[in-house]
Amino acid sequence: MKKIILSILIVIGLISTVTGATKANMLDKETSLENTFAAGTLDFELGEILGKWNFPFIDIKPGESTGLQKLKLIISENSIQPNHLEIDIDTHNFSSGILNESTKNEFLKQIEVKQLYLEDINTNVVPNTFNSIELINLIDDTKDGNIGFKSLYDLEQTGVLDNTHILQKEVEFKIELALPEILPDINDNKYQDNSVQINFEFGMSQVTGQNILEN
Amino acid sequence: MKRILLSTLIVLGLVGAVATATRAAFSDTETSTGNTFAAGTLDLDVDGNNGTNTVKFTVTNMQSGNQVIKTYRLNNVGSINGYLDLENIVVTSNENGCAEPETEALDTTCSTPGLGEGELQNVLSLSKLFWDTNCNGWVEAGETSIYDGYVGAIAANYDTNKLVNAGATQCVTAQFNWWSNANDNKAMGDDLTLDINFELAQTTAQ
Repeated sequence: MKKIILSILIVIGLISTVTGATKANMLDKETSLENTFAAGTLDFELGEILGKWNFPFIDIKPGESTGLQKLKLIISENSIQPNHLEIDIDTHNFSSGILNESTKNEFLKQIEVKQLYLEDINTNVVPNTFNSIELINLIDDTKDGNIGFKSLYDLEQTGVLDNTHILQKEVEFKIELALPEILPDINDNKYQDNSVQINFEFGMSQVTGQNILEN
Repeated sequence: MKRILLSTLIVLGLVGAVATATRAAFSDTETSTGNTFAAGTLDLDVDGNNGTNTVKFTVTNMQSGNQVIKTYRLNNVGSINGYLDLENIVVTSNENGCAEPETEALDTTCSTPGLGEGELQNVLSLSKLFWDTNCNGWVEAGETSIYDGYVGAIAANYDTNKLVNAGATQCVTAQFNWWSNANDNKAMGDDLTLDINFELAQTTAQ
Protein backbone atom coordinates (compact mmCIF):
# COMPACT_ATOMS: atom_id res chain seq x y z
CA MET A 1 0.00 0.00 0.00
CA LYS A 2 2.83 2.36 0.85
CA LYS A 3 4.35 1.71 -2.56
CA ILE A 4 1.09 2.62 -4.30
CA ILE A 5 0.79 5.90 -2.39
CA LEU A 6 4.41 6.66 -3.07
CA SER A 7 3.88 6.02 -6.79
CA ILE A 8 0.88 8.31 -6.91
CA LEU A 9 2.82 11.08 -5.17
CA ILE A 10 5.67 10.69 -7.61
CA VAL A 11 3.28 10.90 -10.61
CA ILE A 12 1.63 14.03 -9.15
CA GLY A 13 5.03 15.52 -8.60
CA LEU A 14 6.04 14.86 -12.18
CA ILE A 15 2.80 16.37 -13.53
CA SER A 16 3.32 19.48 -11.41
CA THR A 17 6.84 19.79 -12.70
CA VAL A 18 5.68 19.55 -16.32
CA THR A 19 2.89 22.07 -15.75
CA GLY A 20 5.27 24.40 -14.02
CA ALA A 21 7.59 24.19 -16.96
CA THR A 22 4.77 25.22 -19.32
CA LYS A 23 3.94 28.34 -17.27
CA ALA A 24 7.55 29.30 -17.23
CA ASN A 25 7.45 30.38 -20.88
CA MET A 26 8.52 33.93 -21.50
CA LEU A 27 6.04 36.65 -20.68
CA ASP A 28 6.10 40.42 -20.34
CA LYS A 29 3.38 42.68 -19.01
CA GLU A 30 2.87 46.41 -19.27
CA THR A 31 0.16 48.45 -17.66
CA SER A 32 -2.15 51.29 -18.51
CA LEU A 33 -3.73 51.98 -15.16
CA GLU A 34 -5.53 54.96 -13.68
CA ASN A 35 -7.17 56.09 -16.89
CA THR A 36 -9.81 58.44 -15.53
CA PHE A 37 -13.04 59.74 -16.99
CA ALA A 38 -15.06 62.28 -15.05
CA ALA A 39 -18.46 63.60 -16.04
CA GLY A 40 -19.26 67.25 -15.61
CA THR A 41 -22.46 68.72 -14.24
CA LEU A 42 -25.03 71.03 -15.70
CA ASP A 43 -26.88 72.95 -13.06
CA PHE A 44 -28.40 76.37 -12.65
CA GLU A 45 -30.58 78.14 -10.19
CA LEU A 46 -32.96 81.04 -10.10
CA GLY A 47 -31.35 84.00 -8.44
CA GLU A 48 -32.88 86.57 -6.20
CA ILE A 49 -35.96 88.18 -7.58
CA LEU A 50 -35.21 91.77 -8.40
CA GLY A 51 -37.85 94.43 -8.10
CA LYS A 52 -41.49 93.50 -7.92
CA TRP A 53 -42.21 89.99 -9.11
CA ASN A 54 -45.83 90.88 -9.36
CA PHE A 55 -47.44 87.59 -10.21
CA PRO A 56 -50.23 86.52 -9.96
CA PHE A 57 -51.52 89.14 -12.33
CA ILE A 58 -53.86 91.13 -10.13
CA ASP A 59 -55.08 94.66 -9.56
CA ILE A 60 -54.16 95.82 -13.04
CA LYS A 61 -56.47 98.31 -14.66
CA PRO A 62 -56.53 99.18 -18.38
CA GLY A 63 -53.53 101.35 -19.13
CA GLU A 64 -51.46 99.78 -16.38
CA SER A 65 -48.70 97.21 -16.45
CA THR A 66 -46.87 94.92 -14.13
CA GLY A 67 -43.73 96.89 -14.73
CA LEU A 68 -40.66 95.11 -15.93
CA GLN A 69 -40.26 91.92 -13.89
CA LYS A 70 -36.76 90.45 -13.65
CA LEU A 71 -35.46 87.05 -12.71
CA LYS A 72 -31.83 85.99 -12.70
CA LEU A 73 -30.83 82.61 -14.09
CA ILE A 74 -27.45 81.73 -12.62
CA ILE A 75 -25.43 78.81 -13.91
CA SER A 76 -23.76 77.05 -11.01
CA GLU A 77 -20.06 77.62 -10.48
CA ASN A 78 -18.83 74.19 -11.57
CA SER A 79 -21.45 73.61 -14.20
CA ILE A 80 -20.84 72.93 -17.86
CA GLN A 81 -21.86 76.00 -19.81
CA PRO A 82 -25.25 75.27 -21.32
CA ASN A 83 -26.00 76.96 -24.59
CA HIS A 84 -29.66 76.26 -24.82
CA LEU A 85 -32.58 77.62 -22.84
CA GLU A 86 -36.21 76.70 -22.87
CA ILE A 87 -38.95 78.72 -21.19
CA ASP A 88 -42.40 77.39 -20.64
CA ILE A 89 -45.17 79.76 -19.59
CA ASP A 90 -48.62 78.71 -18.57
CA THR A 91 -51.51 80.08 -16.55
CA HIS A 92 -53.36 78.69 -13.58
CA ASN A 93 -55.92 79.54 -10.93
CA PHE A 94 -58.05 81.83 -12.99
CA SER A 95 -60.67 83.64 -10.96
CA SER A 96 -63.30 86.01 -12.11
CA GLY A 97 -66.04 88.09 -10.73
CA ILE A 98 -68.47 87.45 -13.51
CA LEU A 99 -66.76 85.04 -15.93
CA ASN A 100 -66.26 81.32 -15.48
CA GLU A 101 -63.21 79.15 -16.10
CA SER A 102 -64.20 78.36 -19.64
CA THR A 103 -63.71 81.99 -20.62
CA LYS A 104 -60.27 82.33 -19.10
CA ASN A 105 -58.78 82.49 -22.55
CA GLU A 106 -60.81 85.56 -23.37
CA PHE A 107 -59.19 87.31 -20.44
CA LEU A 108 -55.71 86.17 -21.50
CA LYS A 109 -56.33 87.65 -24.93
CA GLN A 110 -56.71 91.07 -23.33
CA ILE A 111 -53.32 90.96 -21.64
CA GLU A 112 -50.48 92.43 -23.66
CA VAL A 113 -46.94 91.10 -23.52
CA LYS A 114 -45.15 94.42 -23.75
CA GLN A 115 -41.63 93.20 -23.17
CA LEU A 116 -40.06 89.77 -23.04
CA TYR A 117 -36.38 89.20 -23.34
CA LEU A 118 -33.19 87.75 -21.96
CA GLU A 119 -30.37 90.05 -21.02
CA ASP A 120 -26.73 89.38 -20.39
CA ILE A 121 -26.00 91.03 -17.07
CA ASN A 122 -22.23 90.70 -17.34
CA THR A 123 -21.75 92.43 -20.64
CA ASN A 124 -18.91 94.49 -19.30
CA VAL A 125 -17.09 91.37 -18.18
CA VAL A 126 -17.51 89.31 -21.28
CA PRO A 127 -17.70 91.55 -24.33
CA ASN A 128 -18.79 90.67 -27.83
CA THR A 129 -21.76 88.67 -26.72
CA PHE A 130 -25.41 89.42 -26.76
CA ASN A 131 -26.91 92.21 -24.71
CA SER A 132 -30.43 91.01 -25.01
CA ILE A 133 -32.65 88.69 -26.95
CA GLU A 134 -36.11 89.90 -27.82
CA LEU A 135 -37.99 86.75 -26.95
CA ILE A 136 -41.19 88.57 -27.76
CA ASN A 137 -40.39 88.00 -31.41
CA LEU A 138 -40.65 84.26 -30.79
CA ILE A 139 -44.30 84.53 -29.89
CA ASP A 140 -46.70 83.34 -32.54
CA ASP A 141 -48.78 86.45 -33.06
CA THR A 142 -51.75 84.77 -34.72
CA LYS A 143 -53.19 82.74 -31.89
CA ASP A 144 -55.60 85.29 -30.48
CA GLY A 145 -56.90 86.35 -33.87
CA ASN A 146 -55.57 89.90 -33.49
CA ILE A 147 -52.54 90.10 -35.73
CA GLY A 148 -50.09 92.64 -34.42
CA PHE A 149 -51.17 92.23 -30.84
CA LYS A 150 -49.09 89.83 -28.80
CA SER A 151 -51.17 88.68 -25.90
CA LEU A 152 -50.55 86.43 -22.94
CA TYR A 153 -52.81 83.99 -24.75
CA ASP A 154 -50.45 84.09 -27.73
CA LEU A 155 -47.54 83.46 -25.42
CA GLU A 156 -49.12 80.50 -23.70
CA GLN A 157 -50.33 78.97 -26.93
CA THR A 158 -46.91 79.36 -28.46
CA GLY A 159 -45.75 76.91 -25.85
CA VAL A 160 -42.12 76.47 -25.04
CA LEU A 161 -39.84 79.20 -26.21
CA ASP A 162 -37.26 76.76 -27.44
CA ASN A 163 -33.68 76.78 -28.63
CA THR A 164 -32.74 80.11 -27.15
CA HIS A 165 -29.00 80.34 -27.33
CA ILE A 166 -27.20 81.50 -24.22
CA LEU A 167 -23.52 81.93 -23.57
CA GLN A 168 -23.21 83.63 -20.25
CA LYS A 169 -22.97 82.45 -16.67
CA GLU A 170 -25.74 84.80 -15.64
CA VAL A 171 -28.66 85.92 -17.69
CA GLU A 172 -31.74 87.80 -16.68
CA PHE A 173 -35.22 86.97 -17.82
CA LYS A 174 -37.41 90.05 -18.12
CA ILE A 175 -41.10 90.36 -18.79
CA GLU A 176 -43.69 93.10 -18.66
CA LEU A 177 -47.39 92.44 -18.97
CA ALA A 178 -50.06 95.07 -19.35
CA LEU A 179 -53.68 95.72 -19.96
CA PRO A 180 -53.93 98.13 -22.88
CA GLU A 181 -55.83 101.33 -22.32
CA ILE A 182 -58.35 100.11 -24.84
CA LEU A 183 -58.81 96.39 -24.57
CA PRO A 184 -59.26 94.35 -27.73
CA ASP A 185 -62.67 93.40 -26.42
CA ILE A 186 -64.71 96.57 -26.21
CA ASN A 187 -66.89 94.96 -23.56
CA ASP A 188 -64.04 95.46 -21.16
CA ASN A 189 -66.05 95.74 -17.99
CA LYS A 190 -66.65 92.04 -17.87
CA TYR A 191 -62.98 91.52 -17.11
CA GLN A 192 -63.12 93.43 -13.87
CA ASP A 193 -61.83 91.49 -10.91
CA ASN A 194 -60.32 88.79 -13.12
CA SER A 195 -57.04 87.34 -11.96
CA VAL A 196 -54.73 84.64 -13.11
CA GLN A 197 -51.55 83.04 -11.88
CA ILE A 198 -48.71 82.84 -14.37
CA ASN A 199 -46.12 80.10 -13.99
CA PHE A 200 -42.70 80.17 -15.57
CA GLU A 201 -40.57 77.08 -16.02
CA PHE A 202 -36.98 77.25 -17.17
CA GLY A 203 -34.73 74.50 -18.49
CA MET A 204 -31.16 74.52 -19.75
CA SER A 205 -29.29 71.94 -21.75
CA GLN A 206 -26.01 71.37 -23.51
CA VAL A 207 -27.27 71.35 -27.03
CA THR A 208 -30.28 72.38 -29.00
CA GLY A 209 -32.95 69.89 -29.86
CA GLN A 210 -33.34 68.42 -26.42
CA ASN A 211 -36.88 68.41 -25.09
CA ILE A 212 -36.28 69.62 -21.58
CA LEU A 213 -39.71 70.79 -20.52
CA GLU A 214 -43.02 69.12 -21.00
CA ASN A 215 -45.50 71.23 -22.84
CA MET B 1 54.77 -20.22 -9.24
CA LYS B 2 57.25 -17.44 -9.76
CA ARG B 3 57.73 -18.61 -13.34
CA ILE B 4 53.98 -18.49 -13.96
CA LEU B 5 53.77 -14.94 -12.70
CA LEU B 6 56.76 -13.90 -14.76
CA SER B 7 55.26 -15.43 -17.89
CA THR B 8 51.99 -13.62 -17.33
CA LEU B 9 53.75 -10.27 -16.93
CA ILE B 10 55.73 -10.87 -20.11
CA VAL B 11 52.52 -11.68 -22.06
CA LEU B 12 50.80 -8.57 -20.74
CA GLY B 13 53.83 -6.53 -21.66
CA LEU B 14 53.75 -7.84 -25.20
CA VAL B 15 50.04 -7.18 -25.57
CA GLY B 16 50.63 -3.65 -24.30
CA ALA B 17 53.40 -3.13 -26.81
CA VAL B 18 51.22 -4.33 -29.65
CA ALA B 19 48.38 -2.09 -28.53
CA THR B 20 50.63 0.94 -28.35
CA ALA B 21 51.94 0.16 -31.76
CA THR B 22 48.32 0.10 -33.05
CA ARG B 23 47.46 3.58 -31.64
CA ALA B 24 50.46 5.04 -33.23
CA ALA B 25 49.00 4.38 -36.68
CA PHE B 26 47.52 7.20 -38.91
CA SER B 27 44.90 9.36 -37.26
CA ASP B 28 42.95 12.62 -37.69
CA THR B 29 40.84 14.81 -35.39
CA GLU B 30 38.23 17.57 -36.03
CA THR B 31 36.58 19.91 -33.55
CA SER B 32 33.15 21.34 -32.84
CA THR B 33 33.91 23.80 -30.13
CA GLY B 34 32.40 27.17 -29.25
CA ASN B 35 28.81 26.05 -29.70
CA THR B 36 26.81 28.83 -28.00
CA PHE B 37 23.30 28.95 -26.70
CA ALA B 38 21.81 32.42 -26.04
CA ALA B 39 18.34 33.04 -24.71
CA GLY B 40 16.10 35.41 -26.62
CA THR B 41 14.13 38.23 -25.08
CA LEU B 42 10.42 38.87 -24.96
CA ASP B 43 9.94 42.52 -24.13
CA LEU B 44 6.91 44.76 -24.56
CA ASP B 45 6.70 48.49 -24.28
CA VAL B 46 3.66 50.73 -24.47
CA ASP B 47 4.15 54.05 -26.20
CA GLY B 48 7.85 53.73 -25.40
CA ASN B 49 7.22 53.09 -21.72
CA ASN B 50 8.88 49.91 -20.57
CA GLY B 51 8.26 48.93 -17.01
CA THR B 52 6.41 52.12 -16.21
CA ASN B 53 2.68 52.69 -16.25
CA THR B 54 1.12 54.47 -19.21
CA VAL B 55 -1.76 56.75 -18.26
CA LYS B 56 -3.47 57.30 -21.57
CA PHE B 57 -6.70 59.00 -20.61
CA THR B 58 -7.38 61.78 -18.15
CA VAL B 59 -10.69 63.25 -19.21
CA THR B 60 -12.54 65.76 -17.07
CA ASN B 61 -15.85 67.57 -17.30
CA MET B 62 -17.30 65.08 -19.75
CA GLN B 63 -20.74 65.51 -21.20
CA SER B 64 -22.94 63.64 -23.61
CA GLY B 65 -21.81 64.12 -27.15
CA ASN B 66 -18.14 63.86 -26.20
CA GLN B 67 -15.82 61.57 -28.10
CA VAL B 68 -12.27 60.75 -27.02
CA ILE B 69 -10.01 58.63 -29.24
CA LYS B 70 -6.47 57.52 -28.44
CA THR B 71 -4.16 54.86 -29.78
CA TYR B 72 -1.74 52.71 -27.82
CA ARG B 73 1.44 51.66 -29.62
CA LEU B 74 2.41 48.22 -28.34
CA ASN B 75 6.01 47.57 -29.36
CA ASN B 76 7.64 44.15 -29.28
CA VAL B 77 11.15 45.34 -28.51
CA GLY B 78 12.42 41.84 -27.71
CA SER B 79 14.09 39.36 -30.01
CA ILE B 80 11.35 36.77 -30.32
CA ASN B 81 7.80 36.89 -31.56
CA GLY B 82 4.99 37.08 -29.06
CA TYR B 83 1.22 37.05 -28.66
CA LEU B 84 -0.72 39.95 -27.20
CA ASP B 85 -3.57 39.65 -24.73
CA LEU B 86 -5.48 42.21 -22.67
CA GLU B 87 -5.66 41.10 -19.08
CA ASN B 88 -7.00 42.21 -15.72
CA ILE B 89 -9.21 44.99 -17.04
CA VAL B 90 -10.81 46.74 -14.12
CA VAL B 91 -13.43 49.50 -14.12
CA THR B 92 -13.87 51.44 -10.90
CA SER B 93 -16.94 53.63 -10.84
CA ASN B 94 -17.72 56.40 -8.38
CA GLU B 95 -20.82 58.32 -7.45
CA ASN B 96 -19.58 61.66 -6.19
CA GLY B 97 -22.81 62.98 -4.79
CA CYS B 98 -25.75 64.35 -6.68
CA ALA B 99 -26.33 67.71 -8.23
CA GLU B 100 -29.96 68.75 -8.28
CA PRO B 101 -30.58 67.53 -11.86
CA GLU B 102 -29.33 64.06 -10.85
CA THR B 103 -31.79 63.92 -8.01
CA GLU B 104 -34.59 65.01 -10.31
CA ALA B 105 -33.57 62.26 -12.72
CA LEU B 106 -34.24 59.77 -9.91
CA ASP B 107 -30.64 58.69 -9.52
CA THR B 108 -31.04 55.88 -7.02
CA THR B 109 -27.44 56.11 -5.77
CA CYS B 110 -27.68 59.69 -4.53
CA SER B 111 -28.14 58.46 -1.00
CA THR B 112 -25.29 55.96 -1.24
CA PRO B 113 -22.44 57.79 -2.95
CA GLY B 114 -19.02 56.26 -3.30
CA LEU B 115 -17.22 53.37 -4.87
CA GLY B 116 -19.17 51.29 -7.36
CA GLU B 117 -22.22 53.55 -7.32
CA GLY B 118 -21.58 55.80 -10.31
CA GLU B 119 -23.60 55.72 -13.51
CA LEU B 120 -20.98 57.09 -15.90
CA GLN B 121 -19.96 53.53 -16.77
CA ASN B 122 -23.52 52.91 -17.98
CA VAL B 123 -23.62 55.81 -20.43
CA LEU B 124 -20.00 55.99 -21.60
CA SER B 125 -19.31 53.58 -24.45
CA LEU B 126 -16.00 52.06 -25.41
CA SER B 127 -17.01 51.79 -29.00
CA LYS B 128 -14.74 50.55 -30.20
CA LEU B 129 -11.65 48.96 -28.75
CA PHE B 130 -9.91 47.38 -31.74
CA TRP B 131 -6.63 46.23 -33.24
CA ASP B 132 -5.66 49.24 -35.30
CA THR B 133 -3.45 47.83 -38.04
CA ASN B 134 -2.39 51.15 -39.50
CA CYS B 135 -2.47 53.04 -36.19
CA ASN B 136 -4.66 55.81 -37.61
CA GLY B 137 -7.33 55.72 -34.88
CA TRP B 138 -10.20 54.68 -37.14
CA VAL B 139 -11.80 51.34 -37.82
CA GLU B 140 -11.07 50.16 -41.33
CA ALA B 141 -11.56 46.99 -43.32
CA GLY B 142 -9.71 44.06 -41.88
CA GLU B 143 -9.22 45.58 -38.45
CA THR B 144 -10.76 43.44 -35.76
CA SER B 145 -12.79 44.54 -32.80
CA ILE B 146 -11.84 43.56 -29.28
CA TYR B 147 -14.82 45.15 -27.52
CA ASP B 148 -17.76 47.33 -28.42
CA GLY B 149 -20.12 48.34 -25.63
CA TYR B 150 -20.59 50.31 -22.44
CA VAL B 151 -17.49 50.66 -20.30
CA GLY B 152 -19.23 49.07 -17.35
CA ALA B 153 -19.84 45.84 -19.26
CA ILE B 154 -16.29 45.20 -20.47
CA ALA B 155 -14.83 41.79 -19.63
CA ALA B 156 -11.81 41.32 -17.41
CA ASN B 157 -9.72 39.49 -19.99
CA TYR B 158 -9.43 39.24 -23.75
CA ASP B 159 -7.21 36.36 -24.86
CA THR B 160 -6.77 37.68 -28.35
CA ASN B 161 -3.43 35.98 -29.09
CA LYS B 162 -2.54 38.76 -31.49
CA LEU B 163 0.80 37.89 -33.06
CA VAL B 164 3.43 40.61 -32.90
CA ASN B 165 6.75 39.78 -34.46
CA ALA B 166 9.99 40.76 -32.83
CA GLY B 167 10.71 44.38 -33.53
CA ALA B 168 7.18 45.04 -34.76
CA THR B 169 4.47 47.38 -33.44
CA GLN B 170 0.81 46.60 -33.02
CA CYS B 171 -1.59 49.45 -32.27
CA VAL B 172 -4.79 49.21 -30.30
CA THR B 173 -7.19 52.13 -30.41
CA ALA B 174 -9.83 53.01 -27.85
CA GLN B 175 -12.72 55.16 -28.98
CA PHE B 176 -14.85 56.45 -26.11
CA ASN B 177 -18.24 57.89 -26.98
CA TRP B 178 -20.87 59.37 -24.76
CA TRP B 179 -23.95 59.13 -26.92
CA SER B 180 -26.89 61.05 -25.54
CA ASN B 181 -29.50 58.90 -23.83
CA ALA B 182 -32.24 59.18 -21.28
CA ASN B 183 -29.93 58.49 -18.33
CA ASP B 184 -27.37 61.21 -19.00
CA ASN B 185 -28.37 63.33 -16.02
CA LYS B 186 -27.84 60.41 -13.64
CA ALA B 187 -24.16 60.37 -14.58
CA MET B 188 -23.52 64.01 -13.76
CA GLY B 189 -20.46 64.50 -11.60
CA ASP B 190 -19.62 60.78 -11.59
CA ASP B 191 -16.22 59.42 -12.53
CA LEU B 192 -14.63 56.11 -13.39
CA THR B 193 -11.16 54.66 -13.61
CA LEU B 194 -10.18 52.12 -16.24
CA ASP B 195 -7.16 49.83 -15.77
CA ILE B 196 -5.81 47.72 -18.62
CA ASN B 197 -2.88 45.30 -18.57
CA PHE B 198 -1.18 44.36 -21.83
CA GLU B 199 0.50 40.98 -21.90
CA LEU B 200 2.99 39.74 -24.50
CA ALA B 201 3.49 35.99 -24.24
CA GLN B 202 5.70 33.51 -26.00
CA THR B 203 2.86 31.11 -26.67
CA THR B 204 -0.86 31.40 -27.21
CA ALA B 205 -1.55 29.23 -24.19
CA GLN B 206 -0.29 31.71 -21.67
